[in-house]
Amino acid sequence: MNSQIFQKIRPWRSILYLILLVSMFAHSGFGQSKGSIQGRVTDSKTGEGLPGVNIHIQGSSYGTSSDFDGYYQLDGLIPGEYTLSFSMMGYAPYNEKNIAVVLDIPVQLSVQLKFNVLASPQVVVTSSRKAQDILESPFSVSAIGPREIEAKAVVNMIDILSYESGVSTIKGQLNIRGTSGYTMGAGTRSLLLLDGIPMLGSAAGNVTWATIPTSEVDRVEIVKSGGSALYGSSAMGGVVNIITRNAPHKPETRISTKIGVYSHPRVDEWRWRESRGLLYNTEISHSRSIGNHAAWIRIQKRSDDGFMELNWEEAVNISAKLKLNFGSAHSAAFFINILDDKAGLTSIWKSSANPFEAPEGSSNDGTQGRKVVLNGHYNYVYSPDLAIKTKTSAYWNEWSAFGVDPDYSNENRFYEEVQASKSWTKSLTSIFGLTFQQNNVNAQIFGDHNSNSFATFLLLEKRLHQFTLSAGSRWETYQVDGKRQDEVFTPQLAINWKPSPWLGLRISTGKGFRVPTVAEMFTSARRSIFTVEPNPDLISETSINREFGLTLLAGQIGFLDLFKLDAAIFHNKFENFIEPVPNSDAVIHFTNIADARIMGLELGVGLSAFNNSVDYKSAFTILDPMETDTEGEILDTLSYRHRYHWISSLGMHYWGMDASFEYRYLSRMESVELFQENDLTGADARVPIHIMNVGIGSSYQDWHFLVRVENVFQYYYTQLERNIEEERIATFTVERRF
Amino acid sequence: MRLALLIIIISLLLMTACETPESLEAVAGVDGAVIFTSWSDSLKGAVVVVFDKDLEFDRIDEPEYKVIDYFITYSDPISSGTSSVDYFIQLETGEYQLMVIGLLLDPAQLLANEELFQEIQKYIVIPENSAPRGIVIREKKINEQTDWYVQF
Repeated sequence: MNSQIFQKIRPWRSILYLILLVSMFAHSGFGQSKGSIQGRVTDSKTGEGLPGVNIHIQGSSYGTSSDFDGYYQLDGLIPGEYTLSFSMMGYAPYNEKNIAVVLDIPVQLSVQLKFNVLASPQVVVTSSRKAQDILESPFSVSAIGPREIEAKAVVNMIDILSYESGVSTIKGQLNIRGTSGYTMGAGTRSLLLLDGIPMLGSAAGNVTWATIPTSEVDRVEIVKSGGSALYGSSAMGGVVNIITRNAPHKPETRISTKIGVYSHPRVDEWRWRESRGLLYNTEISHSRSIGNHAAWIRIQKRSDDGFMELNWEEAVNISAKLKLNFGSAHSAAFFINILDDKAGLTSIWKSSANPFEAPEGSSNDGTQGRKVVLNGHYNYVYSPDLAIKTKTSAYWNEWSAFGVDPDYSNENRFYEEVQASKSWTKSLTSIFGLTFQQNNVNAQIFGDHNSNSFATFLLLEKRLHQFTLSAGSRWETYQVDGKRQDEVFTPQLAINWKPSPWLGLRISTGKGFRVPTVAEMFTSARRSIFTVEPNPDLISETSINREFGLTLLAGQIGFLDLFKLDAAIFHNKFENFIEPVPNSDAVIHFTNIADARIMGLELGVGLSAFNNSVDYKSAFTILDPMETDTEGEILDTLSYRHRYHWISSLGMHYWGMDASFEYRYLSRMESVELFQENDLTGADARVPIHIMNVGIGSSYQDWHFLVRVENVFQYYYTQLERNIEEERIATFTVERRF
Repeated sequence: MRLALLIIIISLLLMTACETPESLEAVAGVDGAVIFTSWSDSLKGAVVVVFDKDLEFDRIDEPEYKVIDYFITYSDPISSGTSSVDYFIQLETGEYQLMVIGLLLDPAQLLANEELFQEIQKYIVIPENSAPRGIVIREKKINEQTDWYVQF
């Protein structure tokens, strides 16, 4: 299959990339004499060594991280003058400039980082495929650190993402700035990466959130603008990159148990079970170093009665990560996740009078499956100017549904990526690479199909005084069942201006694309009274994304330890937009509707005050999602989008206790596809969403305790028609680390 | 300053979250079952129709009248012999008439094309011994006395 793909690549493109690759090595510093920088990173208040601090040379891809005691060493440096950046979640970043490196005499450099609870990672890696100051990012990026993840002790990563600006979910389907809407789980315009590797299912392009080991996540980065130039299909609406932690060098064992109790419905008439539903989640993980290498393993067992009749779930999840370090030039990492799960299955409530119950006769409907993810990374630092990374991933999924409508699906996916980062001068860098992906699907409702794609990408970045110019492109071809479906070229251009150390302005434009998934092209199924029929004539959708934004990041202003402001105006225009559309016979086809555009603005503020005792974050997003004709004339409002979105959270840390409040508002959906509101009866009413969560936690020696209540006010709403969402749940989590 | 900031922020959060007038609440309507004692092969489905208390069913296709709501039996196919389908129709407080009719067209078509109700007489079969029943719906109450035994 690979040879078929390569034959279809236009020869001149291959030659161009080959020349580029060879020229990289020709200019590298391989074989020259080297110098080094070494030292220790400590906490400014406690003086203790800080493990896992990211340390990299500005303007290059060369870097390392501190060991468990905070020590680090950077070898193989060509003599010259460098700026070294130190960053770590929860700490203010630090840059040491004008470090003179000479031959054979190590430079000693120890630094102290200042603790800052709110500080999101100031260095992000997703928007440009390399470590980059968030103020210099060409696109809107937000980041979630481990403190925020730990503070909520969530089982599912989606419960974290739902409280990020511009991010919403509908039945597990991720929406960044409203690009995806709801597509019945088939196809997404937001790409999910795990450690930089795509994690979308090979048939439907959907996300299985349970495969993400939430408690082992180091940070999450959300790129909110089109990322197709670097990441290809499905990244047209943005990218979520979940980065798992590396094991600390000191052995550590974590045992955690979470017990949750669902409330009975606030409306007495909706009560549907005698006893309250329960949730149990138990996790055991161990991490340790093995020589220069490090590894962690985590076993999770989850049992959830769910908040409604067929919302139950049972799962066992085993995941592990092994990081191998072979000197400063070579490193590799392997990640494995095995998920066995069984869950209830429902597509609609029994009735609006019994919204927590499943339709008559469906009480035995459910699914079971096994998913295996195997990811591998290999990094080779050929010289301080040139680093090569390879990423390999394999995914298997066996899934079956039982009950009234038995079903099955067997999928597998193979992904390979080679990426090189080359610094030509201190101000000019490039990143380029190749990717290949093969999907195979054999499913009752899709049939037996395969698809593959091959892509090359290139990103050039040039610094000019306070400006950073970046230009990128991706060329991708894909086939379905051996027939070439499309060939897409997606350029992007961005300018970032950083006039001061605390302000960054950005403007960008780029083309995005998404190839239709096998599910969108070949689904043949009947659900309730709706029939979904195949549409093999679907073509890929494309977009033109434009964004203007600014980020302000300042510290130590009066009682404020940190203040962050982020604003963006965006405009995404789509052509051949793919949506599930019912026709006059209630038969749904995934169809290339004419065009669409989603424009809007986003404003977010974050602050940390009173010696980091108080954190506050708030963000407001306004969307204008419209279906248009090819001339741009508005035809209708796009379905399953919320026009207004507001998130707000407050954290307080006093007397060894942590308290948190979160609030989420989404305006009433203006348009849906299946069941319209009936003004005469009040049926299928759509309401805005107001959800509030509170939590209080405390630590004592090795122990940590957390009590949380989600959906405190038992607010009820639907997003997908005739599917009630959320019930109040009180959880108690106890964790011991030793 | 510290206390003031905390009070302002918490107040803002609580003010917005406590105002929950639009949360989905208990609804009113009619609940029951349709028990088919016989079924004709020419039928594609059955519908429980709700219409105004003052309306005569044979005038339902006149433009000034409107079917208030309906519940389509999703069972497909309903085999001959006795078969039962539960139904619920959400309604506002008031008085209505209910009736069960057989459909000669695919229920999905009716759901997707509400205007077809304007010419519903073309597509229906009225079961034997079936006459409209009057019901009263009270606020947030479910009327549960409305089972139907129908013979097509």
